[in-house]
Formats: sequence, structure tokens, C-alpha cells
Amino acid sequence: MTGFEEVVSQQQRKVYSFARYYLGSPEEAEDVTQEVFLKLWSNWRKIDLTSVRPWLLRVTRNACFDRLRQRRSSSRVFLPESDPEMVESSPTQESGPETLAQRAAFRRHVTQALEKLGEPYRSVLILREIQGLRYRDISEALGMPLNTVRVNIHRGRLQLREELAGRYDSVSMA
Amino acid sequence: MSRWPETWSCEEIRLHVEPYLDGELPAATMTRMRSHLGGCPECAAQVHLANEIQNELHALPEFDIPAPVLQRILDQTIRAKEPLPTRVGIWDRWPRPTWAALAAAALALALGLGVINQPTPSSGPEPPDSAALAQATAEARYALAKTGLLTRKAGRVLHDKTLRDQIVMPTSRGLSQALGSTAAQESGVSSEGVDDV
Amino acid sequence: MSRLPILSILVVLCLLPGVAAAQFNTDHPGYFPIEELGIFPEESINLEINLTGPMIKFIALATHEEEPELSQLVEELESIRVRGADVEVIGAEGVRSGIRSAAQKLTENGWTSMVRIRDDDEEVYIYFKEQAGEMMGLTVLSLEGDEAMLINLVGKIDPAGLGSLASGLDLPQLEQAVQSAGEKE
Repeated sequence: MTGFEEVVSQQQRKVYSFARYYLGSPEEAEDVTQEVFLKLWSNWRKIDLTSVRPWLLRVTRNACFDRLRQRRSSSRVFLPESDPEMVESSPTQESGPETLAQRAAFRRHVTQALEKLGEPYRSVLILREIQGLRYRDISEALGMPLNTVRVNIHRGRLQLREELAGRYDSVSMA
Repeated sequence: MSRWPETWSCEEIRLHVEPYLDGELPAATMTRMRSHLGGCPECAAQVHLANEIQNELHALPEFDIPAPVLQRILDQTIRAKEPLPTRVGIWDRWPRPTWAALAAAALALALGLGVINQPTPSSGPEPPDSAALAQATAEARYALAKTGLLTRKAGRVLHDKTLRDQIVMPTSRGLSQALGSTAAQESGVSSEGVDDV
Repeated sequence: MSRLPILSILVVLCLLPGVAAAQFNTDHPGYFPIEELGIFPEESINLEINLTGPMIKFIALATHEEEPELSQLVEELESIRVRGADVEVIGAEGVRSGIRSAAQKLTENGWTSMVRIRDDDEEVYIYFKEQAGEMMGLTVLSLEGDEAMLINLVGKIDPAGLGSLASGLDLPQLEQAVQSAGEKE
């Protein structure tokens, strides 16, 4: 396997998953991923391979952000659909169809709330809470000071909670 | 300077739930928050909700890109076997002249000057060498892939549904299918890169 | 020593007929001179693709067995030309204004607009040239973030044929749309 193939193989999951959660559309995520790796290919000679992941995530995030802005400027109403793979792959420990249905609904609402978040909260939450990147890597990927990463993660989660608190009777959830 | 949590309202307490969950508040503040939460079911419920949200986010899976898309990426890049040129030099615009070609040119000159009285070989385009052909194929694939991506992307934001459905999407779909998409694979067509000719 | 420059000049002169043969017909209706628009100064260009005439036919031949759809698409083309540039070198405003002028020229020269997108840091124009009910050229003018690209595909482009090749789609509306574009002229 060549160096480029190795990088694609190692990084495709992070790139594609980020785009998928950001855009809420597997199809658009595929297009973005293709764009990103074509861009990597055409810049291959210039890339510092020791920081290829932050480079890729930055390019991915920018490509996703552009697509989102296009959606917003379009008169076409875009309704993010629940990504069935996301909702169904819940490794729940509870049993019973009612609980499973509740968990699936909660997951759907969490992912929908995530898609409503603005920047930079959407990016930092995907990178940290879903993809498990370290603060340092997020800081490098997004060009954001470390402490700002931390603050934005907290604010992003706060916004999610505020979005969902309206739907969920938080006392009964406890 | 922060105020102590016992002087915070529930509203202020709730603004600090996330750093509290992450253990990132000063120790004394953490203790006081814990104490408040023990006696305030509404705030405690907010902490519970925040915890559930975080657990849910952590449980969300990552995805591998579908195999046909990965194939397409590799076909358009590394499997073309030649690196995509950045700045293309003059010799990359048509088949690179080998020394043999230069010698042939010199021969033609010599004939033109009447130095050697021999018939020239019949004209017709020289087949390119395999490296140049692979390079050119990679360039063609890249150009068509880029065109396909741009039309596809543009099609999504078109206001005129008719134009999008009747021209742009079929064109971009066709371009991407011609370059070895899922549909092409389903029809049994190989999307392997070009081997050396 | 003095012979070497003379010999070099003579060799270059010998190659000129070959050069001319490798160029293609700029009178083709689908041709648009993306190289002559002056949008990208030399030092900003980071991508050039020039595939014309015989090379295109060789690509079609070489991919005939393993990639028949690509082969068929390429076979009908006369040329594939791309120019790419780094916007940071030129400045986005310069590119933007150059692209808009080029779009205007396309319209003035009888090209039909397929898509026009204008956004804060993105402008994309896609035009096609129709002749006798067939798409004879496609031109893309694109500014996306820090990347600018001009693409001109010259030759017969059959969108309905492209669509139906792999998936069996029948697109009579598409042919009609191309035809209607011709009837407007």
C-alpha cells in the first residue's frame, strides 16, 4: 500500500464520520469526503504528514460549512432526515421494546439538536464527544486556542441541553 | 472574581453543569455545587439530562466510507499510477519527446536540407509512452471527477427544480457513473485504474 | 559552442509542425479560451491540464476494456482543459470579477447557463454550448474558498447517454431541455 493509500485508509473514517454528523446526510458526506481526499491528492507534495489529520479535519470542516451555507441561502427547505444507521446502532443496555424505542427517540433528538447547532459548537462537539479527539488535536484542527476549545465544548453541550430540555421533562428523566 | 455557588441562582448553577460534569470547576466550587444539587431536584435533573446527552454522544458510532466511494477516490488518485501534476511543464502537454523522437526530428531536418535522400516514415500520431498515457488518463479522470463534483454540488442548491432535475443532476450523475460509481459496479463494470499499456 | 544553440533552434523548428498537429480546432463551438481570460497570473497557477486530439483518443482506447463508460465519454471529446489557481496569491475579488466577466462572455457567445451560484466566498458558473440539439461543450468557472478552477470540455457530451449508460435511466426530458435551449437561439 502506498503512503497516500495508507493515509486514506487510516483517516477516511474520521473524515467521513465528521461530514456525516455535520451535514446529517450520508450522500453529501460522501461528496465532501471525495472532495477532501482529491484535495489531499493535489496537495500531497506540500503536506506535512505528521499533521495530516488536523489538516484533513480542517478541510473537511470548511467544506461542510460551505455546504451548510449554501443550504441556508437556498430557498429550498432542507429537512435533515434521521440517519437510520445512527439511530439503530445504539448499544443500549436496557431491555424492553418501550425503553429501546425511548432510547432510539432520544438518540434521534440528540442528533437533530446537534445539526441545529451553529459554529464552532457543532464542530467541537463532533470532534470531542463523538470522535474522541484530544483538546490539543481539536485546537490544531480548528486553529482554536486550547482553552477556547474547552469553553466551546461546554457551551455546545449547554445549547444541546437547552434545546432538549424543552422536549424532555428533565425531572422525570432523572 | 466568581461568586460562590451558594449565592448563585438555580439559573446560574445550570450554566455551570457541563464544567461540573467534567470536573473542571475549582474544588471548592465542585463541593458547593454538589451540596446544592443534593437539595434541588430541578437542578439535579438538569445534571442528569446533561449526563444522558453526553453518554448518548459518546455512544454514537463512527462510519467507514462506503467501499464504492473509496474505490472511486483511489481510482481518481493513486491508482492512476502517476501523481497528479501541479504545475505542468511544456513537455507534459503532449507526449514527451524521447531522444528517439528528437533524432527523428533531426532526421527530418536532414532530409529537408537534402543531406540524406531517404523517404520519411508515414505520418500519423505517435502513440505515447505508457507513463505519459497513464498520466494523461489520470488528468482526464481528475478533470471529469471535478466537473462531476461541481455540478452535483451546484445541483443541490439550484432554485429551479426543473433545470436541476432535467440537466444538472443527470449530467453529474452520468459523469460520476462513468468514472466508476456504485451503479457502474453493479453493472459489473470494472473501475480499476489503467494498467500500463 | 556556437553550433549548439543553432542545433537547438533547428530541433525546435522541426518540432513545430508536431506542435501544431497536437493542437485542436479552436473554431469548435464547444471551445472556450479559458487560458486567455487573464484571470490567473502565471505565478498563481497550480494546475494545468491540456488533453487534446490524439491523446484523448489514446485515453479512450486504453480505457476501452476496463472502463468502457469513461472510454465512451472521453472518446467523444476533442479536448479537456483545466486551469487551477491558488486564490490567496491572486486575491478572491480579482478572481471573482474575472469569473463574472468570463460568464458574461459565455452568455454573449451563445452559451446556455446551467447553474449560477453566488455566495460569500463561492461562485460557480456552469455553461453548456448547444448545437443542433447536442451538447458540444461544457465550461465550468469556479471559485470555492481558496481554490479557483476553470474547466472547458470540448466535444460531444451526451448527458442522456451518460445517464443511461450505467443505470438504465431514460431521460427524454433532458434531450428536450437541450433542444429547447437550441430553439431559443
